[in-house]
Amino acid sequence: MNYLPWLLWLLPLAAAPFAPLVSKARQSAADWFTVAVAAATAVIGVYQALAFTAPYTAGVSTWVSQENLVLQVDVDGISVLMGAFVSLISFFIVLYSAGYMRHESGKARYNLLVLLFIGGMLGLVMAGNLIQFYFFWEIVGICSALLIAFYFEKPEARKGGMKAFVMTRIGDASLLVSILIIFSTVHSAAFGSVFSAVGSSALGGNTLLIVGILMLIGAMGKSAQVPLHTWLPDAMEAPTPVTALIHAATMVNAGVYLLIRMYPLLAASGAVIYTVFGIGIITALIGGTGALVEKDFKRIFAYSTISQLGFMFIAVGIGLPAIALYLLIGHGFFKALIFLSAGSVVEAVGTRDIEKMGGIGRQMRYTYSAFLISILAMGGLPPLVGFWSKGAITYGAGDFGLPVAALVVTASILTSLYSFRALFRVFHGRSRAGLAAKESPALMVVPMLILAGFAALAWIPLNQQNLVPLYDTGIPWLSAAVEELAILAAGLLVAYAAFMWRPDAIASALAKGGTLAGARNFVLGGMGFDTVYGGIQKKVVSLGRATTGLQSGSFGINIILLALTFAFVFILALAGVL
Amino acid sequence: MWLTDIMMILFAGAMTALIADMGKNYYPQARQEVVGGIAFAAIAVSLIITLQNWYSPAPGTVFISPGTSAFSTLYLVDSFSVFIVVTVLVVGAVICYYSLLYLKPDDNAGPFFALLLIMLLSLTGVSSAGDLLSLFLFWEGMSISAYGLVSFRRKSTLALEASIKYYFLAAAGSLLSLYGISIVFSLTGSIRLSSLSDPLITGTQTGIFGLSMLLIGFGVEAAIVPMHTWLPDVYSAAPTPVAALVSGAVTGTGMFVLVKIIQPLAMAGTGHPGQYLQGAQYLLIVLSVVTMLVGNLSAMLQTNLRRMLGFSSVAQTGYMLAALSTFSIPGLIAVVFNIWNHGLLKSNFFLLTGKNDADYSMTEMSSLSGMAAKSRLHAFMYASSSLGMVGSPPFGLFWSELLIVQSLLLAGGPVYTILAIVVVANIVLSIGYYFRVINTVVFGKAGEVPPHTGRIREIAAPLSLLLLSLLTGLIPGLFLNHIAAIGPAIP
Repeated sequence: MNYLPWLLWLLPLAAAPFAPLVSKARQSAADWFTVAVAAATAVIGVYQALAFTAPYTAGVSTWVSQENLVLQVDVDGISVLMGAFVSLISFFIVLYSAGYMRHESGKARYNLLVLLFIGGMLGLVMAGNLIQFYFFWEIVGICSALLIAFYFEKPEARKGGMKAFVMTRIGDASLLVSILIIFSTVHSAAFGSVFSAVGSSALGGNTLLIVGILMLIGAMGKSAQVPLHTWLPDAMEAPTPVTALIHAATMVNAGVYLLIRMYPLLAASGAVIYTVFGIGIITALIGGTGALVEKDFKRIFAYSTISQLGFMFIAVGIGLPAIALYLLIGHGFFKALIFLSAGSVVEAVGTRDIEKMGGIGRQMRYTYSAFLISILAMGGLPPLVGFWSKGAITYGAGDFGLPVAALVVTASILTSLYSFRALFRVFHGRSRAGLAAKESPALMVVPMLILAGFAALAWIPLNQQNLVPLYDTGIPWLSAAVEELAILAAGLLVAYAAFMWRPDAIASALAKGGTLAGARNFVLGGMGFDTVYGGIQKKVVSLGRATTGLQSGSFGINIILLALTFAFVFILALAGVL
Repeated sequence: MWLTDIMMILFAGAMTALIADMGKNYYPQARQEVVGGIAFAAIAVSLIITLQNWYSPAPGTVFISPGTSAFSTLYLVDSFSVFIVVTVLVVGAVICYYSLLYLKPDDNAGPFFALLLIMLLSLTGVSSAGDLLSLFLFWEGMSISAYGLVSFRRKSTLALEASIKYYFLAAAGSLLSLYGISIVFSLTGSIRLSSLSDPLITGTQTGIFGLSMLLIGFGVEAAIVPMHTWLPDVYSAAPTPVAALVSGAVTGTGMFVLVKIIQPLAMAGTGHPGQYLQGAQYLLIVLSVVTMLVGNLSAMLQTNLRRMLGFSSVAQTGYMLAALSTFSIPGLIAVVFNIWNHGLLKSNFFLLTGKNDADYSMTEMSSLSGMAAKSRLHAFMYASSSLGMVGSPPFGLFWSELLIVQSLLLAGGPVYTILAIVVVANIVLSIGYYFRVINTVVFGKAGEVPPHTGRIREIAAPLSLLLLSLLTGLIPGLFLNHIAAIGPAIP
């Protein structure tokens, strides 16, 4: 038996409880303990990918035997590729956070949760059946919520944690129901048996539709798709390495991973797959708009993540799950890098408001280059890692008619536009408050530069690996390159005009008030989603007030309640229901 | 017969504890240690005997004594009842250990531990009773010891009020169940639980009416809305170990009595319930939805941690009622497993609040806040227990809630599919108040008067329950296999 697929996630999970113990012995040792575990995990993950020959499943049958549930791993191209990606990026971010968190207290909690998260995420990736998948799906959600609330002295951090937990749990609940419907009709949760049951009488027609829609809602919660996206911007209260790891590179992608994994099931129901497509387009546009307007450096890229996740949904929706996987991995590299450089900037200037930044490109050359490479990769500059997926998506959307393709291209231009806006505002122009920024220490710069290397060059191994056929030969790559360059240039030009050439024009227009300022405030206020959720919350609380009214110290009322129950049964009997 | 053996042991332990308490002048400082030690030994021996029979409950075995007349006492030993006996004794043992540290030398240790043992004896009897009369007698024994324990602090008016409320509601519930028992007896001429699946009961209006009376009569103790009003009061006013016992073992056993009533129907499994039986199902569905909604919505507004936990127990009752309403074996398995998981976590939660029970205001969440700064272990345990209670892995409740929803979906039909969604939505609702525990108690700012946190000896009690829940979550088969080995039919 090959132990590597087990060790990959069991190692960080088993090591997690030791992190607080180590830190009790010696504060500084805890960081290196975490780094060592992450390094070992990354070695296992990469080795497993290199040594992969043929897919297989392996299981321990005594887990929940009478439920026909086996603790199993599913080793195939997708899981092995994801395992290597997740473990590798986790290692670099843990390395960076050893530098970033060097002055923080609460390291024991931090290291414990990060290791638990890595183990949970890898467990999710390697899981061989849906119930096990869901088990880890929840574990990563818990780690995410608790890490968002890491700076718990700040009320926004506590609130952000709770919001993330509640909102993703709405999706989780829906996913659970869909998994249990599958489990009760197919009587197995293993991926293989589920796929072979698709279209049969047990899992077809309306059942398939319901299962698909519920599963989609689950993916939307985790992957922050509209309208379940509002937790992600508020999750930016987490320490920046956590943002990079969980809310950019790995956990938020779990929803997309679910769609890719369950693609045979989703594709069997046309309505579901079109819904995926539609949600992806809406999310890509709304996320892009939010990113264009936000002033907080991290929130800009939270919205950007929402929008990029929308692109992944689009890829799944147009029938290219492999391209979604490509974008997922590429996005993991460049978005993690964006957040790492954002963390570097925020630590150097001490604010997250980009209107208070400016002109620090010269003082922070390494951070600047890392950031530039990452936004170019995100914008789809050929041949960086983003291009291969973005090009395929733009090309694939062309099949759906001009209006649809126009929407996708608009979302792409938005991507380029908000990226360059951030670049110009933060790194170029004149310094706004006499900032004296200093480059971050080597422990932070080195992981950034390595990730920059990945963002630039990862396409070479990704196009050549034989785990999942990501490289699509059917696409005319030359014209795709021209397309992507044009999109990138369009965004760059508009951004240059608005934020470098005439930066005062927009400012004065906004100062005048009117529609433009109104639109900006609407977007900054969360586009009304939070207002609706707040209203629902108020309704629930007022209902709660009503039910609490049953509670009384009066003897009479309590006995009357009991008598009413009796009367209810009696009336039911008289009415012939019983 | 090992079952009667452990009842004898528990009874002998109670008597010995009372006698030992008479000699309190010889050991004035160690009174609660001596008396509690005796009680703990009795529980431990009973638990060991039960665990020895854990692997060979010989499913479906029935023990009759004496004679075989209509009124002969009957024990029903199957994988369900053995599992509940284990649950009761595990929770009881941990609470007994905790009480050793909890009671002060001038507390009346003798009656306390004697009542505790009588309570455990009665719970054992309730879980394994095979006929309605012995069920009723053990049930009354359980209730009477519970009234005594809840009002153990005689000077606390809140505890007295809670105890009286509990007494009146439970007594009225007993009357309803007696009414049900008499209907069953008059229709079938038998008081055996197995007679509940008789067509005279399941196929007639009077029979189903009697069955419904049994369900709501015994349901008072399981806190079915609107007969739940005693529960939050008892949970917030009783001394910590008693609240832990009531929440972990008594409400659970109350729920198990409903399982026992439905078990013969589920085992008979006609496939298509008759018109009247379906009426009883709808009654349970209505009660379950109302119960979980009232529990969750009310919990949302509570500022007192223990009161909130009480309403959360009401919500849990609602989930279990939903699974019960399927009248199916998977539903019953889910409920029994949930009694175990919920019992462990809830008892753990109450023991965790520790000695902060002298005054109602001490268990306000705002007075308990600041754990993260004060004690890492406490912060960890409060956070884990809260997450466990909303059904997050890796704790046991995850699996039993999963089984509950699955049993609803297995029952099929649009009504049960909707009910499954309602249950899941309610579980989401419960995050609203449990995450608040994390945000205030764990992460909140410490108040002026820091809460008691207790030494590691005291924390060991809730920690053991929490770890047991964690073990259940990681290897559910270890426990679930015993429940699922349910025997074929009841003679």
